[in-house]
Amino acid sequence: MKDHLKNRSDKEDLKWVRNAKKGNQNAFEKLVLKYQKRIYYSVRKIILDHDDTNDIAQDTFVKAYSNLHRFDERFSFYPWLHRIAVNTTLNFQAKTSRVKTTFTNSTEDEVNQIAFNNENPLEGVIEIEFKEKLTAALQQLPFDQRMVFILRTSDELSYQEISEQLDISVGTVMSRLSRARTKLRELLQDYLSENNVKGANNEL
Amino acid sequence: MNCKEIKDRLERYIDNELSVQEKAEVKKHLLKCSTCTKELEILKSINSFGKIATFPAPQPQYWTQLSQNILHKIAAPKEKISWVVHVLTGLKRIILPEKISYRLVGLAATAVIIFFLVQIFFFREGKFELPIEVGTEDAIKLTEQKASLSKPQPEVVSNKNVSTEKPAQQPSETPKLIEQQQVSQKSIAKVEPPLSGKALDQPAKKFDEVVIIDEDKADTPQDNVIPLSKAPVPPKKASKVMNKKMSDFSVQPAAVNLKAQQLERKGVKADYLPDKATIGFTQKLDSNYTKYNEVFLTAQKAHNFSKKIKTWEDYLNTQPDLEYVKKATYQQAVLYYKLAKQKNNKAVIQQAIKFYYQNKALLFSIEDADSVQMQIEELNDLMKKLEKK
Repeated sequence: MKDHLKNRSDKEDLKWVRNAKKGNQNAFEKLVLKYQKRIYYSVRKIILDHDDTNDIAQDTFVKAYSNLHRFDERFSFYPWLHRIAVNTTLNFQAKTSRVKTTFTNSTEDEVNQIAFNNENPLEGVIEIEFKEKLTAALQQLPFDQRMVFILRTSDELSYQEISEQLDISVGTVMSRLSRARTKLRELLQDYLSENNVKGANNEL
Repeated sequence: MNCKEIKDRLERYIDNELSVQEKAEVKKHLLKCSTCTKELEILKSINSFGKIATFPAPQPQYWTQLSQNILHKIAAPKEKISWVVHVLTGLKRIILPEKISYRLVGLAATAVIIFFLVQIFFFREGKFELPIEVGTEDAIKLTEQKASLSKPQPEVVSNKNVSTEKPAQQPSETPKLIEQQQVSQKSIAKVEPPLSGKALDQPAKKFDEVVIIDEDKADTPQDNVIPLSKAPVPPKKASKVMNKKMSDFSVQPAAVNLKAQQLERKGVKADYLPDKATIGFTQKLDSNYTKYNEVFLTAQKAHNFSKKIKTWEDYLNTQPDLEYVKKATYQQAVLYYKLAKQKNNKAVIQQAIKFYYQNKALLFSIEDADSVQMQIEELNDLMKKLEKK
């Protein structure tokens, strides 16, 4: 019993959910528009590949729609939706244990925007370099570890929540998390020793 | 509590998974202990990676597409069911009385099959001749192919055998033989560059043989260098094969590395190596894979400018753009160089030097290689000054 409906956002969601349950697709569209980006990026950090993420995001919403009647209205909508996304991701990974070689290319648009339209293009280059390395490092983590790490640090789930969602013990969550951190520390040492990670420390 | 106990708890501390009492203890310790505070900072940075990690944002219109797709999927099943049901019920009425017609169709089908069987039975002799003819043709083709393939090889083998067996007995003849050997290798290099269509259109066995010859060539790198302007453009068919066997192709990087190699031989190679890691890089350069990989990564960076290169295939298909890749790399190097000068910070300079060094093959192959050299030297000087301080 965690999130009780407090804020406006939750009330808004609930209204749409109730309408969607009655078969109002416009109401569900509003939920999709509100949460699709969040779900997309959340999955993308774990799956890394755009096309796969696209599939998972679509499945997530479709599943959510067909299971709306199971949604407990006492809770917030997003955590429920996110749980479906996590499940879909797990199923996807189980089905396709193929190794995809995606190049961690910092995108053309990003570079052009940051490096050439910015007032200080040079800083942008370094920033992109770091992000490239970070993505590459995440890619090197085993799927299990990456998933736990992202769920903890990006989606801010507690150990308990992660263990429930992935159906593993809290001890396993902790050990995976610890291993992920050790590996990232190894891979990104350059950025930890120097004061290059401005963004990193500022955000906390 | 001592530092070790604290360190064991730090992860849970930043994850907010400690009890109130434990939390207070850790906080208390952190006020006193600077090493643990540092450790905490590092852990915080690592934690922030999860949030920072961003990915190339999809096109703006992607989001509308995504929501439309979802809504379409949601809407689809209902429509389909109703439509399908309608059609099925309609069909049932039409089909049920006409079941006999299906039997007729079945009869017709069996009749046709029997007709063909009978035909085959009666014209068996004629039919059986065909495969034999095909077989002979195939056999001829195969032998032809084998012959054409094995033509260049014996030259190598025979020359080699001669050169390895005879030198001890007849030392006076060896120079000529070595010359012969080199000539033959050159000719093979021209005849069978692995990138050219001929070699790749041939079956896998032959392909491997080509690679073997390639390894021999690696001993004399100068011989197999093909000028950039004449670098072979791979045919589309071939590039798929190449994706699988990137490591087997050495022609391109050899060409790209030419200038860098020349400069290195002149002694330019440099004391500009900042650390052991980059020295290790030179050793890595020896393997074709890293050479290629390096060129490709640079091309990828260049793709930030050109938006063209996304896969190996793309890169190989845009061979004529190599000049462009070089330019783009140079542009980027200059960005690093400017940044390093502006910041005057060890890490940044090191990064700039690293970039120069990693892409030296491309950078030294541009016309303005001297300015590259100047920039590197300048960066090294900056680095030395900072180190003295």
